[in-house]
Amino acid sequence: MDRSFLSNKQLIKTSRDFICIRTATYEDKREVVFLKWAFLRSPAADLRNFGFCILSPDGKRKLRRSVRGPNFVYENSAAMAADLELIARQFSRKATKTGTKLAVPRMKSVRLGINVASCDGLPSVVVFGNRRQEVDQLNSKLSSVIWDESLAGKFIYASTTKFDDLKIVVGATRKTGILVIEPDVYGMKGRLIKRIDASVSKQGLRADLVAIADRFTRRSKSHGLHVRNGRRDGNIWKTEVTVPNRVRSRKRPTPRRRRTE
Amino acid sequence: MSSVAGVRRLLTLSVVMAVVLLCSSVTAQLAPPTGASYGGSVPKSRKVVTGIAWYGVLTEGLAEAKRTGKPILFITAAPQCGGVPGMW
Repeated sequence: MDRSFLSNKQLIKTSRDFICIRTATYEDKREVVFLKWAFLRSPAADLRNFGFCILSPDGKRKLRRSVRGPNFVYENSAAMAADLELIARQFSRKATKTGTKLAVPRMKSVRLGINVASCDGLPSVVVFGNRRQEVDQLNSKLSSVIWDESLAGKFIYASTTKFDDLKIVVGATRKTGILVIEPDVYGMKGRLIKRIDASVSKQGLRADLVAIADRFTRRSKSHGLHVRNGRRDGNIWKTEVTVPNRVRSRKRPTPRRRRTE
Repeated sequence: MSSVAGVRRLLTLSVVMAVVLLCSSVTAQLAPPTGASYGGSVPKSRKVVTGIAWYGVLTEGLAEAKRTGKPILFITAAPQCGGVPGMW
């Protein structure tokens, strides 16, 4: 498959007319019921690692059938972008205008945020405050700058009030603020790149994040080597929900691979 | 006579099935992705580029969709491969 399927410029532009949700499979017991409804035919079936579908704004109706990935439905990213545009047009009258302040697209925890940032090859941003109110204020400041096209989709966010959550971050102290973190290759630890003080202005925050995103160098990873070395070195991730042990039937033929590259 | 009718029916059925199969090629099942492609930066790029901004918490994403009236592009992906994190 084209490895940059969801990185197509037109697709990214069209995605702004959608709320894009990417849950981490097996990482939240409460999300399992919804994931099973969205991606499986029977609630008794086991979750799969990946799933894709398009839902109505109330999250109750599937607008496109659910499959294991967008490449199972669309020939290429251009075809997907065209279909998304079609769907977005149906909801454009009711949808609030672009520019409406959206919430920070957060991960459930700092630990998960750093892992996902490593998977995506992006820096992680953690909002750290002593109290919930302080975190909310910082997130509000963050949300007013991160949806700008120069920053959208360039960081993976999380927030916390517990210093213990930051023990996996080398260089983190008890000082509160917006922490920008470089995840390690396995996403199990991170290194503090910069702590942005809570008193920063919106312009200052934007400038800091743009500068960090521009300087950040992404790691290149090879899938096979990564998994082999990870197992050898004991870098094993503990999921919240047990990953089903699926065995592919020997009688089942290997699915035909479509060439897109 | 009845056997000729049976053969005709079989032929018609085969033609209909062939047409249906040919028309459904766009939605045919494909092999799973071979690499990281679940919405991050361009996989081979060393630079961080603009990408899809994903809500990672289901309830927060659903609430934003309801509030804004925007449809939902919904993906689930396991941030570990064979138990090893750091790879979709």
